[in-house]
Amino acid sequence: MQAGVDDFAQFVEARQRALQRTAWLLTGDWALAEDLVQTALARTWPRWERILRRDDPEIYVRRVMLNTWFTWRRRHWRAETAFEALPDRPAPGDLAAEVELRQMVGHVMANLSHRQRCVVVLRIFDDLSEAQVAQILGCAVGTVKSTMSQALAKLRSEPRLAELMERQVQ
Amino acid sequence: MNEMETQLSRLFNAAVGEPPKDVTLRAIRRRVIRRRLVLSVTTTAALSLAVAVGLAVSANAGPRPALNHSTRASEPRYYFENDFMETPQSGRPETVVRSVATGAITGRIRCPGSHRLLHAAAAANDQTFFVACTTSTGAATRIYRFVVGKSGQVGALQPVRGGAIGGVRTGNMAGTPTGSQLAITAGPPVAGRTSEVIVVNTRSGAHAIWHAIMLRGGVRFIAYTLSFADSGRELAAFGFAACARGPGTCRSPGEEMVAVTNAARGGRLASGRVIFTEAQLVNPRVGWLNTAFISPDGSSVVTATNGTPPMTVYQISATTGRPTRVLLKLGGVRKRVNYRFISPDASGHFLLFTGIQFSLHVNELNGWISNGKLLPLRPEREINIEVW
Repeated sequence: MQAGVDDFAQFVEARQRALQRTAWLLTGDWALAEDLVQTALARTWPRWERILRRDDPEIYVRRVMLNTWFTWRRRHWRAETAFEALPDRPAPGDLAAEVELRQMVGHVMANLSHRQRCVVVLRIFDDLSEAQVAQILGCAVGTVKSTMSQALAKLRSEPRLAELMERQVQ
Repeated sequence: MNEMETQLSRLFNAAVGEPPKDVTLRAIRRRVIRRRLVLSVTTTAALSLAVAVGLAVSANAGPRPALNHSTRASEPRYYFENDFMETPQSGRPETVVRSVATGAITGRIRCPGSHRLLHAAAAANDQTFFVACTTSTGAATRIYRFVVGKSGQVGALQPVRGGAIGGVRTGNMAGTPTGSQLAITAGPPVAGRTSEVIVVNTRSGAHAIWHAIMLRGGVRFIAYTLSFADSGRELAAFGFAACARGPGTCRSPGEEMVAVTNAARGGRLASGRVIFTEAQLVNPRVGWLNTAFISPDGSSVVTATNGTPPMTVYQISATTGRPTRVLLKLGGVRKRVNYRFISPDASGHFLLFTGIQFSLHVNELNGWISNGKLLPLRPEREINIEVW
């Protein structure tokens, strides 16, 4: 039992930041992202040993995370972001430029459907294979391919994205 | 990955950055326990509910403790100011955070995106600030929040939920100490014509609107400054009550302060109580007030008189509207002082002051009021916005 707890603690320590980054791309809000990751991990923990025996824990946690997010979206969950004290961090660069970039990425991503957004984030940002994405979303590999292709077509037609990419190259 | 996918990956990585907080095992454990509690047998839930109801009833049974306004808060260490000096890089006025003790700049803020003009600011508390940014036409506003750390560093600049306001020209702003609510004056896109106050719930993004299109006796209220009392439940608006059909068409009380309870509900400002009118402090033919703020506990108001030397900053009773204390007196008939604005901190104890002194030369005054004196702050030039 203790070994299971230790495994889980190691997993949380190693993967929580990556999971939060994925969650941010889905939600566009750090407080919601943290909440989503915490919820997914809290749902996973009681079944941890069984997951380790039968499944890839990373894939399982991501599946729970996406399903939770889908549920929140279906419920039109717009509850308050859970922060009483705002996170405090120094400003190493131009804060406004960071906000601009985040807002523009948020606008671009908002034009995709939820499923398209998931596929784009998992394939491109998390660099998962099509098979892994299919496993997480519980669909066929062909569906992942077609969803990805539709999402990329939509992104290509987005003028703000071209501008953003150009800026990034500079 | 093809080229587009590679570029997208780079873009996502640049946009995401690092999470501000780690998810810890302790937090997850708490959530697991909470989930188990929620999913436990109905009797436990019912019992918990009964206990919670009992606790809530007992908590509300006694009188609610009043906010202790007499408790001295510590002096703010940093202030946020925007003066008219343009930066060589952007050609726009620079907006900075400065140390009260040294005047050194510890952080810089600019409005992101197309809403480039920073035109109003408010402090929720000594760490959390709001800024209102508008487009060049002033017809659309975006409100941002940022924090100032213990060593004056600026961080966490982010858009406020519900802070996108379009179709109106916005003016001054005020925030509650927790930052969960803010109020901003707004009106048709004509300069200086505010006709409503928008209260934004920064957690849900909901708006409540207080209309001031017409008050009693054919008077239209133009709100200048806003302040909250009673933890955001009471909203006080100070402004000018002008005759709606033109000057002389009604008996206008001039400048006055109106307070409404249940600020988050919205409605008509006319339903609020008048705390004081300018005639209680100055002769309206020669004098005027620019600013008034209610204290966080709602017991007093700070305002100041112009045009009837010496310039005097008063604390007045919110019940009677009469002065209870003189906080600062400056200038005289030969050395006249007019103040531009006064800005209190979240505790209501410490007041920023900016003004102008007319003698042989015209001197800009910028400082804060301490024991009846004005302690100078940098820069000693005309200030556009200053909050702490």
